[in-house]
Amino acid sequence: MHPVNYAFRLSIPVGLAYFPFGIAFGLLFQECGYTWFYAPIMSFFVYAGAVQYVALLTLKNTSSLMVLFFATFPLALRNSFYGLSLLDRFSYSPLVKGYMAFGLVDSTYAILYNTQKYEGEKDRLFCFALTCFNHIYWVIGTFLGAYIGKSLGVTRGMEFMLTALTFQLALELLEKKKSWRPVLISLIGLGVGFLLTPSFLLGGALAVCATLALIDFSPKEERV
Amino acid sequence: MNPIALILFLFVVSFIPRLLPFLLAKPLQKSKAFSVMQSTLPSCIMILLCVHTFREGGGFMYPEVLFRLAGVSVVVLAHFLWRKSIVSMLSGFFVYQLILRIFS
Repeated sequence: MHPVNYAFRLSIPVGLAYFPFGIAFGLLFQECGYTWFYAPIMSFFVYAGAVQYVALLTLKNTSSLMVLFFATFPLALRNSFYGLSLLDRFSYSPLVKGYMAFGLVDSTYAILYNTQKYEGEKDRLFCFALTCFNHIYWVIGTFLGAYIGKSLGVTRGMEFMLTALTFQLALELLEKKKSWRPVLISLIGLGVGFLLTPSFLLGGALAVCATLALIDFSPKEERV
Repeated sequence: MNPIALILFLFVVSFIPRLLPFLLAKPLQKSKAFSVMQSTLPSCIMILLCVHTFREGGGFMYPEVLFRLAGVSVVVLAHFLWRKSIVSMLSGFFVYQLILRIFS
């Protein structure tokens, strides 16, 4: 199958998840008193659903940049771990590489890591197409939410599509890996995160997981 | 806050962490620890993301958490039954929406 077609096929579930999530974001954006067309512009240039949500919710209570920074940066920091697994696949020119890094969000990362690599140029095309498709879904979703969201009716529970997508992708990955080690490390990370950094759970847990994953040096053990 | 200033601010905040691994790439890639980490960390990230997205839709508040648990259970069940990602996602979503509308 052509890499672009394959990327499109794999991106459909992401689109299904991003549209309702984007619509909910677009509605929230208007509720915060901003003109509707800034929502898709923000989604195009920021492309970080959770960060955008938290930023809007924070701005409802304060306009302090410092508060906004501390509310959003820890959340954005989790993305710094994603690129580590894809360094060898992202051999593009600096400009395209910059875009690929920018587009490396949760779903794109999960799909790229889950799927079989193509060879050389085809793989670069596949990664790029997938990143573009997911980016487009997010922008269109927020555009729809901001522009015609109110006439679409109730949007409660729409964000569950994103949860469903994440669980689906995790299941596929764990089935492929067939190991309990990541589960065990994640549980330890989550436990430590809950105890030490409950308001920054994901970042704290990721830091613990990255450390534990580093410590595992045994060459004889089965690799995950 | 001015929306353009907000967009610029969030662009910087969200882009820098994503760019970091590519800036540190060369020295990192050569180490043995890095390759060991790569064998485990991606799966850990996916598991943590599940918890993260699960929590995003209203935290662990009762009874919302039970509705979400039911939805997720259907996603898992549907995955093992039909092996089609779209079918699993939609089944879970519809069950979740149904429960949400019946009980709230």
